[in-house]
Formats: sequence, C-alpha cells, structure tokens
Amino acid sequence: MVSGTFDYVIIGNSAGGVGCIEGIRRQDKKGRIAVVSEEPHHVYSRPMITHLLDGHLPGKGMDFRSRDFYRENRVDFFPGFRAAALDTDGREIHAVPVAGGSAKVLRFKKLLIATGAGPFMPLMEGLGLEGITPMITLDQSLRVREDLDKVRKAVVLGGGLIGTKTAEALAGRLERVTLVELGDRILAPVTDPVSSAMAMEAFRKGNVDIILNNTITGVSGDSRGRIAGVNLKDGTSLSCELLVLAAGVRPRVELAAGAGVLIADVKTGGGIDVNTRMETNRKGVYACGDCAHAWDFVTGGMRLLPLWPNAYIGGRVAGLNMTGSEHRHTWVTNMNSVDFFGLPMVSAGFVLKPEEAGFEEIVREDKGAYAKVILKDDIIRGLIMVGNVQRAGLYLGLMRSEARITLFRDQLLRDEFSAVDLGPEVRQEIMRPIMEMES
Amino acid sequence: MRRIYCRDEVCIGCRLCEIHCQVEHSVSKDILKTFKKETPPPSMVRVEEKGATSFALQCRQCPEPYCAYSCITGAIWQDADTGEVLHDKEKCIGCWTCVLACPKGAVSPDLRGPRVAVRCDLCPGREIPACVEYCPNGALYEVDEEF
Repeated sequence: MVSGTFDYVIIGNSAGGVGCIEGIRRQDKKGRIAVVSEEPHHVYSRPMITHLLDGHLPGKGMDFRSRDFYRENRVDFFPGFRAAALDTDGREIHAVPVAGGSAKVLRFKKLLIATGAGPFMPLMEGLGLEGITPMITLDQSLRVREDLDKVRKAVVLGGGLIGTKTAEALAGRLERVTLVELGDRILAPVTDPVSSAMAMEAFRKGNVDIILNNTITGVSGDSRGRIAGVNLKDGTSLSCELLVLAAGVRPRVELAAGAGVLIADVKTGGGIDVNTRMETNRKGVYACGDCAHAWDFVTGGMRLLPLWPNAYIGGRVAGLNMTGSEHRHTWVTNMNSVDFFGLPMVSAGFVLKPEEAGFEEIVREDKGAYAKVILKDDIIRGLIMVGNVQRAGLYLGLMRSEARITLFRDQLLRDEFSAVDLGPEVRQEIMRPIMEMES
Repeated sequence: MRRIYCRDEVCIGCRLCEIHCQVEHSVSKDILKTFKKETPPPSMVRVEEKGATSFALQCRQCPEPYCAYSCITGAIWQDADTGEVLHDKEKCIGCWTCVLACPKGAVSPDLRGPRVAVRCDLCPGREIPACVEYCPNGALYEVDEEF
C-alpha cells in the first residue's frame, strides 16, 4: 500500500538532508518533500552531541534548525522510520517504524540517500557490557549523560575528532579520562606532528591521559554486567566504568548497495559512488554526506570526507540538481576546525608534505601559535594553523582559487597576513561576494 | 540585500569604523562608557592595513554564504526570503568552522570572552550601519543589491 507520493524523498535527517531541503526550496517552492529519519528527533547538530556531556551547551540547545523548519519548508517528516528497502526502478522505498508497527511505502521522483556513517566496531568479546557505547547519535550521548553518576573513570578508544571531543567533554565531569590511540599521534588526519603535540599538551593540561601506540584487546565486566576495565595490547590494563568506542566510522551503504546503486571500492573508501553533481549511477538517485564520496579539490579525486560542511553542501548541491539546476560540489577538501580546552586549530588539504617532488612547506612557530602552509608550484595545497586562526579562510580561499602566491610569498605567514597583501587584482577578486555556486 | 563596500583608495586606516562598530554593539552605546567603563565588544569590521594601503573589511553578505553552509550548530544561516546571512550568538560554540570557511577572512574568532564568532550584523535597528555613518572619508558605503 502506498502511503504517499512525493517529488523528493530524503533518507536521513542530518546535515545532508537539511542541505537538500534548502537546495530544493531555493528553486522549487511547491514540490512535495518527504524526510525519512531513523532517529526520532528533530534535526540536531551531530558534532555537538559531546557538548551534552559537560553541560557546555549553548542556550538554544542541539537544534540545527528551528522547530518550525519542516513546516516552513513544507516537508512531510517521518521520524523514527528506517528505510529498509529501496527500489530504484519502481521509484519507492519501504520505511519501517523503528519502534514497531506497520511499514510505509513512499513513492518518489527524486531520491537523496544521506544515511551517514556508523561506528567501526573493534572485534572483541564483551562489547555487550553495560557502559560501552559508540558516540555518534544524540541518544548515545544522552544515555552516557544519564549514566555519568555511575562513572568515575572513563576510557575513550580512538584519537580522532569524535574520540578527542568526547574525552574533552568527559574530563570536566570525571575523576579520570584516558584516551587510547593506536597511532603515534592523536588527530592524525587533521594534524602534523607539531600541531598534534600542541593538542596533546592542551589535553594534558585539561587532565586527560593519552596513551599512544596502543589499543584495547579485551574488556572485563563486574558482577552486574557493567564494564570494569580494559586490557591493552602492551599487557597493561585500566579500570573504568565507561568505554567510548571512537575508532572510526564506516559509510552506511547497505540500503544503496541492496538496490543496485554503485558503491566505490573499499580501498578508495567504500562510500556510495557519485559524480560531482552528487548523482549515483541510478538516474535521479543522489547521495551525499558520510555515506558517499565527494570531490576533494586538493587531491583531485573522489573520497570519503565525513565532515559536516561536506554533508550540508553536498546535500544542497543534490537538492538544487534535483530541481533541474546544474551545480557541482567541488568546494570541499579535508578541512577541519576544532577547539580543545581553548586552543583553536584548523587544517585544510594536505597536513603532511607529500613525498613526490615539487612540494615544499613554510612554517612559522612562536609563543603557543603554529602555522604551516604546504605549497606546490606556488599554489597552497595544505594549511595548519594552531593558536591563532584569524583569517584562516583567506588561505583556504587562495587554495580553492589556486592563486599563485609568488608575489606575496614572504608575507604569507606574517602575523597580520591579510587581503591587503594580495595585490589589487587578487584582492578585488577575493573581496567580491560569492554570487553563485560552481556549476 | 544590503551590502557594505569599501573604496580602498580613500580609506586612510583611521579605524573609526572599528571604534563605532564597537560602540554600536556595546551595552551603553556611549563612546566614553564603552571604552572607559565597559569591556568593549570586538569590532565586527576590521581595517586591514599595510603601508599606505588600507581598507575596512566586513561580511560581504554572499548570496552563497559558505560560512552558513559550514556552520555545525545552525548558528549562522541565511534567510531564504531576504538572503540576509544571520548569526544567532546563543547557538554559537566557537568551533571556528566559519572562520575557516569564509574566503574573505571576514569572520573573526573572539578568544577573549564567550567564544563566539564575530561577523557583521549590518547594525539591526539602524538605518545606516555605524561604520558607514561615521566613516569620515565616505570610504565605506552601503548599497542595496539584488539577492
């Protein structure tokens, strides 16, 4: 039985879904839109879920858009429904209520798959113990928060963005927080050894212990079925009442794969294969965000970029294209901005100088601040800034426009480097408002 | 869409725009009290200067606002009808993703007090933004352009 026929169906209610709705509504005020969301919540800011843990939540909470968002955009919202099956030829999805009940069949003309990513779960026994959780959804964070009065010590597995932000938030609440990272530095995808060491120092001051070159090989429980400790690869062990698993995420592609949508090779990331218009191999079926690949303008290839801005902009481009526009999603690279215990750090593009010939780097270090640019042929290909991130966007803008920095090379890392250093022509170009997305 | 531009050939880098921006966004809106009695808020306009070249830089109100597209909390968004890019400071957590996203360098991190991004709000409630009104040379000017 068909429950509804829509011009646009969106699977997923996070950044990509919102971007898609706003992209569609820019062009098409009338078409019928449905959003199917496995989670039961109003759209919330996923990167903020760790802020729930230490109470440092801004006044207006987790909502990513106002409570009127679906109504104002005339969206039929199906919270708590999981898209269980997709038929790209018959143009319909089967949505099953997570809490039980009868399924809905939604017909679509255009579809966005924004199913996000799920946690990479290490293979070990005992992960069913109470007090062990990934940190990807609002519900997971809420459950940890409710549980915190039972916790004195916590262990976080994984020194990526989720693990580090979780450890930072927990440090304000618990007696001891230990972060265990398999690699030789934390935040490896977004740091070099210098900026990673600066972040480590911020964590040390913030009372988080960090153990590198190590991992968890097993867990032990107490008599009530709650985690009591973890065993590490080096033979040592740590006691804890909470273990957060943040050892990476994997794109959720099962629904798409089952429907014959092309999935990229696992070696290249294993996300849904899309073109720069965000369309899959099935006409009218689009994908974006953590479940799909995206064009990295620095490396010049398609890859996973599990970042909030990538999801939003990818969704927006998909939404615009669904209405018949011609836009391409070529704006992003591996780009991040975070703040740990008051230390701001940003990075974009390459964080380590590639081995191949022609790359060089310029570094500036002073009093708690660090800046580095990686260049090739006088074009910026990588950026790290720690401590002082003022005007970071100017560098990213120069990267994106592939502007040659030859004329202001000596000024590039000066403290007050600004648009004034760029020379009149580049400056005027950069100072114009951005009128259009790339098409 | 209202936009503020700067004629850099007549900007002398006096920074009165910064001063009056701070006053306008202060508690008292009084120049003496702002700087003598209160903690002046950060300026939303910034004079960039080198040698004899200077110009005042503030948000360009891009029709395609990548600061808003990148905002992880929903604090920065674009009004779908007017095109104005708005910033709800109560939703801002100071992650500085917008600072990285703005290719103009027109969003600043405020590291002093509550960690909130600083960007031009076009002086709500004022007919002419303070920086434009008090620019002694007419270097700053406002135009109403199509969204």
